[in-house]
Amino acid sequence: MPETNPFQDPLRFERRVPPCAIVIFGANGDLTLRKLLPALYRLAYERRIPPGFAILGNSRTEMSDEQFREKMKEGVEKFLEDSPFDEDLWNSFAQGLFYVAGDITKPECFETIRTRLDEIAQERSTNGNVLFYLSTQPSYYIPVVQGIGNAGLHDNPGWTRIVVEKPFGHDLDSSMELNQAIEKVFDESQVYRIDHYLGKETVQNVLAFRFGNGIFEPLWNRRYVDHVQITAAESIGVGSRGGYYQEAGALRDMIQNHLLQIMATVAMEPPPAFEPDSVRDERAKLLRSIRIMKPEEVAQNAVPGQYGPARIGDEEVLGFRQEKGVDSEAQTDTYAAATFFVENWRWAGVPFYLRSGKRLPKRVTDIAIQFNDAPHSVFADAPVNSRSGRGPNLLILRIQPEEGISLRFRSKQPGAGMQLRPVSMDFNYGSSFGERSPSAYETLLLDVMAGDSTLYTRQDMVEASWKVVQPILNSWAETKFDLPNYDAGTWGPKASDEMLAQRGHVWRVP
Amino acid sequence: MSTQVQAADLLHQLDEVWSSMGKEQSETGGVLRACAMTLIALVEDNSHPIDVGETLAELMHDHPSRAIVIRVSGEGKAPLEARAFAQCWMPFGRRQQICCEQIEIRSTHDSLVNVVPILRGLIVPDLPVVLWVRSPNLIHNPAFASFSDLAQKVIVESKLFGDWKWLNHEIRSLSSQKKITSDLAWTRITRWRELISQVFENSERVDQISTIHTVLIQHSSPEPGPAAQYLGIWLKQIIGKSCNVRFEVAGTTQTWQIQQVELQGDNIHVSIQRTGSSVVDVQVNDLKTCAVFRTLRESDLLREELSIPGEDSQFVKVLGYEPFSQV
Repeated sequence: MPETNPFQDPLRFERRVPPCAIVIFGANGDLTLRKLLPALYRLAYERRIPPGFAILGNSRTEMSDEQFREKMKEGVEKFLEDSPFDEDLWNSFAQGLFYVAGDITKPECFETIRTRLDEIAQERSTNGNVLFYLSTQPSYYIPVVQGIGNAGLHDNPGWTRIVVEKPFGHDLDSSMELNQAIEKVFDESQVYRIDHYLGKETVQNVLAFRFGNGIFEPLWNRRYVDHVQITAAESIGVGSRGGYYQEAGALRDMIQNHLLQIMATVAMEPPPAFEPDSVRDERAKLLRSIRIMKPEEVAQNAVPGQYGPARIGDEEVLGFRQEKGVDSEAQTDTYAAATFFVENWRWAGVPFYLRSGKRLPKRVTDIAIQFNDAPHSVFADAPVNSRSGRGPNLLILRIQPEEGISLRFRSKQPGAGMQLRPVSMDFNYGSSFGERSPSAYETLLLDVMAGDSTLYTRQDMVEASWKVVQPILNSWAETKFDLPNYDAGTWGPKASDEMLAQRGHVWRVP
Repeated sequence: MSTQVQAADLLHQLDEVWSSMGKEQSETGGVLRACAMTLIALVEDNSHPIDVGETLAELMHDHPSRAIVIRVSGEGKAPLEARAFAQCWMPFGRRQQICCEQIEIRSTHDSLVNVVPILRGLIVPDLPVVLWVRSPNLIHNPAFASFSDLAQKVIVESKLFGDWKWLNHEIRSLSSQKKITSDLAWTRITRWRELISQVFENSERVDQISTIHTVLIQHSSPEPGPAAQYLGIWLKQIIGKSCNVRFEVAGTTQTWQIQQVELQGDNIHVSIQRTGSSVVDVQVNDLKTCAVFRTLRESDLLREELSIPGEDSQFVKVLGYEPFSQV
């Protein structure tokens, strides 16, 4: 009899995962309630997780298994999207939920976890496969990993993996310190650093678009691309995350991880195969190829911003410094924009403009690839019917909220004469594939259970991206900026426009 | 309805549909014309409780196509009738309508042969052609071979056909001619197969497969229908010839549903049993869980089949075996 499952039918069945127990540290927190449990329940609804599946939650709060199940049920009912809540399925799913209260800074907590894991392995036939999920505050990552190591929890009869949520440190040094603690207990192949942007369908679709088609890749280089803009805008403010955000800022919270990962996906070389290490090697190579700014170059190539109070419609919106938990003199960047260059043959001289901010006019994430003008215009006398006068060919990879791809090109306006106007060819992910797309957490959780790390970041990638932003962080830490410098509800500070203007470019309005 | 049906006229009608829709919608966001294949539906009029148009409307979200519905009724030579129109839908929160082309041709059984040359002019170039035989009786029609010649894939629904064994023979014959063939009765058991497969994702259980000596399939019809037969064959060819596959009647409905599957081995017992309209209990030795089985609509089954443009090797394997005769 073969070792692999002969009943598998890859053509029709979604990827299957082996039985396992997931130990969630910080199980009483928001992430577990809002994202993890709804995603896991949804996977159960789609019949994607095996009968022998269990979740062991941990936090300080005293709770019985039953109370934990009740609390998780409330979360799933409230935060489940796009699928009905099925009582029978929940009752079955909840039988696999367990809870152990304990202080993760104390060794006895891990001993209790070990005992419960042994019981669960017997009861649920998990084959000793264990996935640890760090959903605690980042300051507890190192104590938890040490606790796992000291209690020998990483030594299981089956496989052992650990998922680490961002932030992976708050700078290069702390990231390396965290990694040193992790690698004392786990091998790199067991570590899954989650960047939920990489789990988004359309970020994955960038790979399909680039490497599944023959017609775009020949244009994907400095010869044809003028510049690239990557935007991740949020219309909301920091809300209840003021305290955390004050220490983090947009550069750390978005650009260091999500946007640089997206940039790596857009600009990397084709991997030899769609396999975890092949894809991650190429992403890592690209991140290492980004030119590190010299201190004197930061002011020209990076712009911090902070939103001030404004009236948006009928609403009076607070400025960042007026938000709850925020210092009234805070120098935090709620907006960050930076210009990066990739030092390789493909991209030399092509600016990559990245920006992210809060309280911008709308929630949108997209990648815009601006192609060069035609080398010679035969329509010199025909004015371009475009407000911006920008080059005609623009490829937009839309990540959220309306996922899809648009290609803008010029067309002749109907009628006499040769008047050109830009038109758009649209592919809408949602309407072309009516099937519901799995949430990023569903994708990533399924991947880690299946042992597929393609969409997870690796330590060398984390360090490379910290190296890219570290000079900016250093420079901004030494400078007192005149903040706030943009009104809530606008597209960021003027200095950001000027950053692009020095190379003759303008931010597009997404 | 026109009386002299010609492909050029129908294509012209489609052009007019697009022109008028473009004018109507130009101020509200426009119309997006979507097409990923030609889908030919062969239908006997009034043979099915759900109108074919309803199923096609549900399908177009995932598989936009130029759908050509051939409605067949009556005998004798009679002129064909045809019309062309568009099916549209507005994605939630968007201003742009998405529309698919649809052509409907009415024919008698005897005139069906005259439809084929018209179809040749209506097929969308460079895209796949799928023939969906919604009324399997039409396979008896002498024109059927010409229809199947037009398509890369032929989909039938044997559940609706009285003489399943004859139809199975026809499907096997098509498959042996290298025509990609599928049967929605096979599609219906994907989720049963999926759950069985899931049980054996546990590496410790893979070794136990060779010990399975009995498979019991309970079904709700007096005879095991095509879905039960397919499931039995699939299991037997994977587990091995020594495994005894038995069928049992559970209940007396005519819905052709599989009610339960049991696998019994030396140290393993697997049972998957319907307990309600949308839930099945899954029991593996002492561990009991459940899974959701939503009611499957015709469009769900077609959606799955249209997502597989190439050959389904597992189905081809199953077709290589004779159906169980003594049950």
